[in-house]
Amino acid sequence: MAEVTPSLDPQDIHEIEFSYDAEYDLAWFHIDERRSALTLEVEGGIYLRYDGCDVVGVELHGLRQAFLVVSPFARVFAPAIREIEAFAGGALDEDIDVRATADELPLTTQMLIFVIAHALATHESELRHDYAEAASAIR
Amino acid sequence: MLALRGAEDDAGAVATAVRAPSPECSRGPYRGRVSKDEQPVAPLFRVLDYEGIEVVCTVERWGAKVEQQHSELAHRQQDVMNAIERPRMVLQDRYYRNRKHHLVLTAAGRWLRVVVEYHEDPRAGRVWGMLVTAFEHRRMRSGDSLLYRAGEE
Repeated sequence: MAEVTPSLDPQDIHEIEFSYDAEYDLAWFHIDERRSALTLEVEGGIYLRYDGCDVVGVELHGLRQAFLVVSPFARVFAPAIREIEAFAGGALDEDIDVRATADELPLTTQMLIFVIAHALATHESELRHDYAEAASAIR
Repeated sequence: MLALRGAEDDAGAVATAVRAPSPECSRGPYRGRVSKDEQPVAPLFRVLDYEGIEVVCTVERWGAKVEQQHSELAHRQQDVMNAIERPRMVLQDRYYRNRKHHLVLTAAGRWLRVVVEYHEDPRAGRVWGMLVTAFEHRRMRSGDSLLYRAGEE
């Protein structure tokens, strides 16, 4: 089945739900309501969640060990996570659950858009590579 | 450290950071919620994986980290257990050397992928696994390191 790359209109982000699993360094961002979704694995520990053509969230593996350490992610993630920690009154050494509007978490919203755009571009690049290899094999 | 096959070095800087974990990364799970014999409190299920290694999922983990974050897996505990016990294939996690992905094909034609992290209990001399996360997907990426495929053992 041909894979259709999902998309996101940044203006559709009204609320963000963030959950962090300190034990396994996993993070989930849900856009607006939590929804049943399929997952799209992208390079670097990014797992996009999508429903039909809509990106509905992101699951990150290695938030603290990778995304907050490695540039250019760290420059975008660090202020966003500080914003989340301040909003939640907690830190990433423990589980965090936050639900807020995009206006309440502007840096987090920007970070989410950055990650999703990066992930979609990476996914498209992988698809083009796979198609090129398949076409080459046929020839 | 477990003698698991390492992931291929085909990733970027983020992957590199994860593959070189801090000492903190290597400590076992159940921090603050572990009994003296390292057994998880309130296991929801225990199953044996394709190598006969016990894999555990706690009630808390299933509720808060699997069902709550992946509502498509609500009430599908049996499917997840089956994926661990009888996977169609097992892939090495690309960034965590002690994580494996257990995959089965669902009736809907999707892949159910269950990520398990393995730990060694040196005092008991045994290895055990903990369910980390699970999700469904369609596309299989190229470049994964295959550890096991059903029918080829």
